[in-house]
Amino acid sequence: MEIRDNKAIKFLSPSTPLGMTFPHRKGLTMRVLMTGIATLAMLAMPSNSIAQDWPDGLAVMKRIDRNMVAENQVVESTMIVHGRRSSRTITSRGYMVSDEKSFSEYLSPPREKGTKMLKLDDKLWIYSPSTNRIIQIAGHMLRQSVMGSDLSYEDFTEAAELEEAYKCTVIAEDTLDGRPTYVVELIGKRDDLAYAKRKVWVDSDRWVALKEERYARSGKLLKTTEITEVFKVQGRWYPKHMIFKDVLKKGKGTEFIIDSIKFNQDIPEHLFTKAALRK
Amino acid sequence: MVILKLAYRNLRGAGIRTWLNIFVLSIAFLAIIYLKGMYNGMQDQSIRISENTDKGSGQYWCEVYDPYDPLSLPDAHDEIPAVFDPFRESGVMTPVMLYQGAIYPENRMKNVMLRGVDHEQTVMNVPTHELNVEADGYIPVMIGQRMARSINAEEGDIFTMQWRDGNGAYDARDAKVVHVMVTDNLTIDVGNVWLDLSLLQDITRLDNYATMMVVDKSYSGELPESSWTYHSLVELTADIREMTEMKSKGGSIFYGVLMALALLAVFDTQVLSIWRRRKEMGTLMALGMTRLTLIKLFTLEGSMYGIFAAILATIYGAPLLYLNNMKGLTMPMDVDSFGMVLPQTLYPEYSLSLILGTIIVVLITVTITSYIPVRKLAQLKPTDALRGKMS
Repeated sequence: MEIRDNKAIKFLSPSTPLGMTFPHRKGLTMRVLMTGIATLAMLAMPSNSIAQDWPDGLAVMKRIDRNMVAENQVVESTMIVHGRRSSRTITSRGYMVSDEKSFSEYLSPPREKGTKMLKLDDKLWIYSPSTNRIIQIAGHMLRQSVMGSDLSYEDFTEAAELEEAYKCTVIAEDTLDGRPTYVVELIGKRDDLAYAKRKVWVDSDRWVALKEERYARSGKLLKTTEITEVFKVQGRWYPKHMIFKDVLKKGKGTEFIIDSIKFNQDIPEHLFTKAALRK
Repeated sequence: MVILKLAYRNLRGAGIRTWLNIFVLSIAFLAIIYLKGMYNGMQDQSIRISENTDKGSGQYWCEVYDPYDPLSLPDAHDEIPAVFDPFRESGVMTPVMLYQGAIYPENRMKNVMLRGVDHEQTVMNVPTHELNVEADGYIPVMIGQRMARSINAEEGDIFTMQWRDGNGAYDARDAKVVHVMVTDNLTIDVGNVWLDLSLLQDITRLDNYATMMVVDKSYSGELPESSWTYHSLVELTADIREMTEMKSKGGSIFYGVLMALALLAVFDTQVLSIWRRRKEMGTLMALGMTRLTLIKLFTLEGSMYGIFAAILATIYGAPLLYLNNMKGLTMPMDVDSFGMVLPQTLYPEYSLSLILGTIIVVLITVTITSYIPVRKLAQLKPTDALRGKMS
């Protein structure tokens, strides 16, 4: 699929099992430093002389977009939430159109079955069949964890227009699980971005993000995403298995597995209404 | 006067029966006064604590702020209107900024309200001066003892604090607990992390912003007109009054039952008294006492139970209530479970109106209860009474 110039880059935005667009994550310069003296020598060199062999950060991001961007997506996925004592597995089906609209429904376990979530722009509603009520998630509730996972509702409302919002620069090369990667640093161009800085490890062969790190304005690492498995679907490389982790919290993180994904489907418009939540 | 003496002699003559009635009634007296005094004291203390530590004599709220609407909280701050500046400088008002955030004690996330207050303020009786310290590069914060207990933290502990600044960007830094305050006000304790206002404004990039202006409780001068809405202490503590009223109504069931038992005893005594004193009544009527006077006599006897009960309650109850008033009542459980601002030790408040009101209500009730069985004397014939018959 061709990248439309007027569309924001979404290469870091694979579809989560919840059917929400979720910007991807990071990698750390630690990996670069692991290369030892050679890397130190590199760091000592003027940055432009290092960067000259690396592609433009924006171009790297656009290459990923070719894999990730579609008119719409229908995703079936599994989320494994690792608790202190046990783990929970939640499956869901999600429909999403660009970054603005998405609708998802939990399919299992029985306790969560029928719970639905609707995102329209930056607003989020959740429907619980046990109470037969629709509630808007706002305020403090946005910081609450989704089904006990490492993701908050706030993460789902975040826009993923990274290309416009961030200055993208390739700052290093690295190897992740044997895959060659470019480390792209994203520095916010505006003050109103959720994360002032991100780092993304991009597979330089398949053009898919393998790791992302998100940082607070103070520079503190907040969240990481690791993609441990990718698969090819309809000619695109797409993340198959992801691990989301809130670095400030204890735990093993939350796993996402894309069971199936279909691009450019015929999704009825009425699905993206509050009325659809009760159906 | 004659029937008064007669009534008194008759009561004395009844012996133990009279004293039992009086004792039971006196307990009812005391219970009512004690419970009402406790509720009055609870309400007054709650309001006083709120006034001293949080509400002041009133608050100006920025336009968006609504504590009962969680959706308003993320935007519940605005630039402090210039009209408040002279009041700030003179110490009559102090700004408070409430800001949503999260802390990660022991790597567990807990949503909190970051409460930014000027460390030099004197409007609220809160040890904000403790925030004026160098915390080894960490953000110096203060928490209440309940909060400290819930997150298992103590002075000197460090945890990560996360928030979104005024532009919506995530920010996080490590904070150090520089003081754990002891307060009776759970609303400023549970879920709150206190830090210096200027620091909060700085880290949120909201310079000169606040959520509310708290007015000093001792200030009685004119208040300025502002785009921020003024809420008086009465308005701000309406929930405390409603809560106390609700609890007081619940308590009234208890002393209602107690009163009913005491009145039943009086009623039974009256019925028995009339039955046993048939011949006496016939004699009195034969000697010229009218039926009305007879009714008055018996009703007065009943009423005197109430009077004597009040006297007895004063004799043994006054020292008890006084002691209770001095020592207070320390709650055996955590008062937070009440869900309202409460001190661990409650001090009752016995007003004159409370005591007199209770005495009058009890006397009227006892008189009515005494009168009911006596009504039948209106049809009593002296000849029947002398023969021991009751028609």
